[in-house]
Amino acid sequence: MYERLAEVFSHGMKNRNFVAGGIITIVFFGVALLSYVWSPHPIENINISDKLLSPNTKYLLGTDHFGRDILSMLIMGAKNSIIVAFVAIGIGLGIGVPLGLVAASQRGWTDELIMRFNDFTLAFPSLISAIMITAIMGPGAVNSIIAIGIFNIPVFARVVRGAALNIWKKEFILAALSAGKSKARISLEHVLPNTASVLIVQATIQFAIGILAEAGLSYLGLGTQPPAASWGKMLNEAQTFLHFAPQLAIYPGLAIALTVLGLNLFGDGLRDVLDPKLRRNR
Amino acid sequence: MKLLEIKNLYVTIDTLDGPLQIIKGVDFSIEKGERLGIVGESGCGKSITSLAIMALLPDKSKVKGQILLNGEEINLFNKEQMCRIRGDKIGMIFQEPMTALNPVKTIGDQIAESLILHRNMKKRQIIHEVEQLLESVDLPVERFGLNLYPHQLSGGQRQRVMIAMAIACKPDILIADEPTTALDVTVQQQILELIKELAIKFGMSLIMISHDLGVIAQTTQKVMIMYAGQVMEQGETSQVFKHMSHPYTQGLFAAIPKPGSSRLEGKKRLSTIPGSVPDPKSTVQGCIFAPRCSFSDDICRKSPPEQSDIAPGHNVRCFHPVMED
Amino acid sequence: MIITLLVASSVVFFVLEILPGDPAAVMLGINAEADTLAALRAELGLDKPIAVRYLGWLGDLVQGDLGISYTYDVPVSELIMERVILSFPLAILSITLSTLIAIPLGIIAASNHTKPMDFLVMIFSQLGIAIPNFWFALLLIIFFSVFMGVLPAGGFAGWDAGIFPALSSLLLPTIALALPQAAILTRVTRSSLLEVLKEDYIRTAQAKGSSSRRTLWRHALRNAMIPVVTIMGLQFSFLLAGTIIIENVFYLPGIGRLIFQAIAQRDLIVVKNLVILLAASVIVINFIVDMLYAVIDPRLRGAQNV
Repeated sequence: MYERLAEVFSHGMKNRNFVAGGIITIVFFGVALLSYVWSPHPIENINISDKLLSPNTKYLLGTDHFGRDILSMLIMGAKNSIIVAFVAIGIGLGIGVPLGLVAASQRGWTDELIMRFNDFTLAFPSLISAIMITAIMGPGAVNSIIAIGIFNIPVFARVVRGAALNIWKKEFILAALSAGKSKARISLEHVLPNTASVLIVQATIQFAIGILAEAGLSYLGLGTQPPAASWGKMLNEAQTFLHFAPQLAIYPGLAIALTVLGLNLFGDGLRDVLDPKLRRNR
Repeated sequence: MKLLEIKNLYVTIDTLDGPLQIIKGVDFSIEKGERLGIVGESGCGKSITSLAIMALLPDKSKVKGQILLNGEEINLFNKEQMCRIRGDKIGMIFQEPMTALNPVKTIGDQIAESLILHRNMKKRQIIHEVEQLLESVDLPVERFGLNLYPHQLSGGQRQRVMIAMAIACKPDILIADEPTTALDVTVQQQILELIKELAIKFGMSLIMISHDLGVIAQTTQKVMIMYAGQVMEQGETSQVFKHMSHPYTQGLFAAIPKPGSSRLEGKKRLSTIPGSVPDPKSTVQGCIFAPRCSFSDDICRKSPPEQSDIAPGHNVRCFHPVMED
Repeated sequence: MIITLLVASSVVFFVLEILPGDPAAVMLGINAEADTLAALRAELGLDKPIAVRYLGWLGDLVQGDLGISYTYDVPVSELIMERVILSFPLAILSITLSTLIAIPLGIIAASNHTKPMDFLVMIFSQLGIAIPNFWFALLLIIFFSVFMGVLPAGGFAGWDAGIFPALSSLLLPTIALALPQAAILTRVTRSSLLEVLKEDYIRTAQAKGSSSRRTLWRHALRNAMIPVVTIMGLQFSFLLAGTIIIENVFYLPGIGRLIFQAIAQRDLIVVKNLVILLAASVIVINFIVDMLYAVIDPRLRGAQNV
């Protein structure tokens, strides 16, 4: 296991996307972790006398209309984005992977049923459904996590099924079957570990999509609620002050774009490193 | 002056593991109207040689040596000049008729393309010419209209379309790279005969590339046996087939099943050449075939043999050519 | 196609039925008396069994009667029509713009593969995918409305105000919607072209003396368009989602904003019909995509073998 990691790492260091994306991703996670122990100013502090300040030595990136420190809010926003995207991926993996494994091992009508359900879920514009879910269950971070998570389910189910179908064709699976192992056991012991690399790559991409979706929902006021900080929410509030303080609309967007860019590059790089066959055109 | 002359051709392809030398010093020439066969196992460089002549090698490859067409060094030509050679002076038929035709264009359009590119003809003339071409490859226009798409044709019919495309401008040289390998056995004969007939009819020189000695015997006057990027034996087809002198050539012949010696009655097993084609990454000091050759000795392993004449117009790259009779 | 629509309509209907939120209660407010509530429910037909209501709704739907909005108190069909005349041009404009950007860029990248130009295009594509469209919209507003003051920051004067003012208020939303689409399409065009350029028939064309430029345009492009059209079809549903956000950014009274407001106000009859409308448009787009396939690829035009 350790050797495999070392190998991936040494190959990865030669890949431009992997390195650039990896660095951005590490910084992003580092900042989010940092928020647990330290942030420049507590974001619950409302200090109206310091409102809408330009960047200065006390507030490195200035303040918003409540006099809250922008930098601190960005740092807390990073934490918020990670939690939402992470849990949403957890939902997708937790439900989607078993579905995909069952579909691949059972085939027949079970497979058909699961895949049709997948197609159906994927066909609806995810944001519309997410808006419906959050609007009906009420806005909030938890509901937005569920809404985003639901759309990770068919994605992971499809990816796992595809990878698993290839593995079910291999000889060692036949050997395990003839040794009398049940399909469920084979799925867990042999198939699942072999789908790990596709899952990791897909998870990276879904992470980026999750961050974008969270920002979109929060921007519409359906996601994270105040006083918690969210990049999308910050953009929403900034829009009111576009004429007086356009800089407020710059930083959170930059944070979203950089993070998503980093994750996408990292995902692309990782795919190239883990699966050289797919390298050709990317 | 020879029509086509290849002098000391080297081709190197850059790969992830470093440069690979695929062609290692190949010389040959062809006269107007002459039919030459190039034989060898897959990977011996016969297709690469033809692609080098057409300047259609992948971008990562380097060509050294001279390729002279009518005395002009076409290997020094720029892209634009080369486009004027391809299709007009040299036509090429590829191996896979299923994938070598564009699936979204009609066969009429695809045959007409060479004419549009190289001939200054009016639309009606072109249509007439394309119909003539289809007739000449035995695809009567009444049944095979110009508006058919490749997927509506069988493999053999598609290969006929390929031939019509390659000969559209009546090129000086027609290169056929394994033209029948992908086809049914019954169709193979017809296609081979067709290519040979057309070459004679239009006075085109033919370069027939194949791993099949039968194909070469049927269609060519001269033959060249290649192994691992080098020419092993070269000469008149009839001469070489009668007096094969290189151990590799003999091995190739011995590997063909002969009629009447089927498994049921014959006790002799079909012979194979021991070992396998050398890894192009490895460098061999002596003769490149020595490791697989049952006649090899210390000389063979020390220095590489040169091509030497053993009869007029018949040369062999071997220290110990087999002399029968 | 019709079956798909039927299934979609029933799913939407029943999902919305089991969700909490009594439309009658919403209409009358929280202080409503129980018997006024019951009277309104009877008037709206909410007291009938669910199957009866579904069939009734479906019948009305086929006749083009979409019911009356609980909150706006106007026929839903009228409400939707008012919004469609904004959203439909917006969608068409942004699809057109993204295609006009993406296909040339993809071609440039593929024909300069591994050269700096290719790298530049890929950077554009990666950025376009990473930048959230509503942030890009804000940046456009900051630049063109706040600093330059040349284009409106939002709102829509309506087509009656003249074609030019109407289009100028749609310009920024169109660009904001088109960017992520263009980024993805560029990527798909590029990789699809690179894939096609490796095909045997490309070499055949070159062997006929076709230059690399001619080969790209005459032989590769059409074959490469098949996956591009697929992605364009899929993108349509992302575009619908995009309009919800973008119409909110620019305060445009379109379908996206309507569905957002209707959901927030529990105007279920509007939601129901809008979702059906969206599902139907996705299905129609898929149908168009299928027809486009046949235009591009003769193999899909039905067998007519010799």
